[in-house]
Amino acid sequence: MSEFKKWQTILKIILIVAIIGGLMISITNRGDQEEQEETVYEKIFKITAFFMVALVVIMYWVLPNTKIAEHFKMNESLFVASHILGIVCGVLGLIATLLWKQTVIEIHLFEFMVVLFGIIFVYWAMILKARKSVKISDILDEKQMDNIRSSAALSLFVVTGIMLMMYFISYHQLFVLEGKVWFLFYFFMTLLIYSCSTIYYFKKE
Amino acid sequence: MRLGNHIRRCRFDHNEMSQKELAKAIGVTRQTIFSIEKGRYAPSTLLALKLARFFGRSVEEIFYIIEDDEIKGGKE
Repeated sequence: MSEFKKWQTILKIILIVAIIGGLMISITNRGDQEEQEETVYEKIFKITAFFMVALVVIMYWVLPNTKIAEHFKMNESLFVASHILGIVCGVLGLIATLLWKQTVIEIHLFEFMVVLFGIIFVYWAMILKARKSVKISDILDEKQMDNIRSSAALSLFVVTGIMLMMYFISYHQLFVLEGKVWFLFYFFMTLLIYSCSTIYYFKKE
Repeated sequence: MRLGNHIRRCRFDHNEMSQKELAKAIGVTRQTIFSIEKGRYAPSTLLALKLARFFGRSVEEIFYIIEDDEIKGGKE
């Protein structure tokens, strides 16, 4: 095993342990919020999210080594569908974040939107694993890679501008985003701009 | 300067092949072939060589340079 692959495997294991560990801690320990009463919905959301992530992780480890892996393939429709899902999750996430702010975090709604979007990229990872490859350029063609690079650069500039504008709006108390909500706003905004621009470049360029 | 091409003509000379069939043979998406044909996307050297090899021609027979004057002249 090459040095690069060895470190990549170690990083993957750390990431998976961190995700599962984080979710388990979240389920079993309430931390500073221990005094607050946990609602039934909250428990259901957490447990469902935990099982969804666990299922996806198991599928990633097991399925690429089975015969089903022969049917794993990347095509134009999947590429477009992945980014349309990104737009849907981005829009829903932004609406939820701006309308309900802290509630989105408290009821763990945002994790569901992230997991929903994440599942399709786990499928991308499964295709790579089935092909015993680590390079995303092995499953996408050169124009798709070019479009992803362009949209990543565009997203950086556009989202920085939007975040700066949001900072001034918040600074002048016109619309205030507090605490952790800033991250959700940043995440869903980036997801939306990135997905929109990738589809735009892919179809129009 | 822009990159022009004769891919469309080559496809028709090649048993009226569709963009989808060519894309599958070369290992790219149909959208990529469409964009190259329209001159919106300039392919890499590798992809240009793959296309040339597929059609059994040289790269220069498929791709050519359109000078700025020609583009302006075309617009006028």
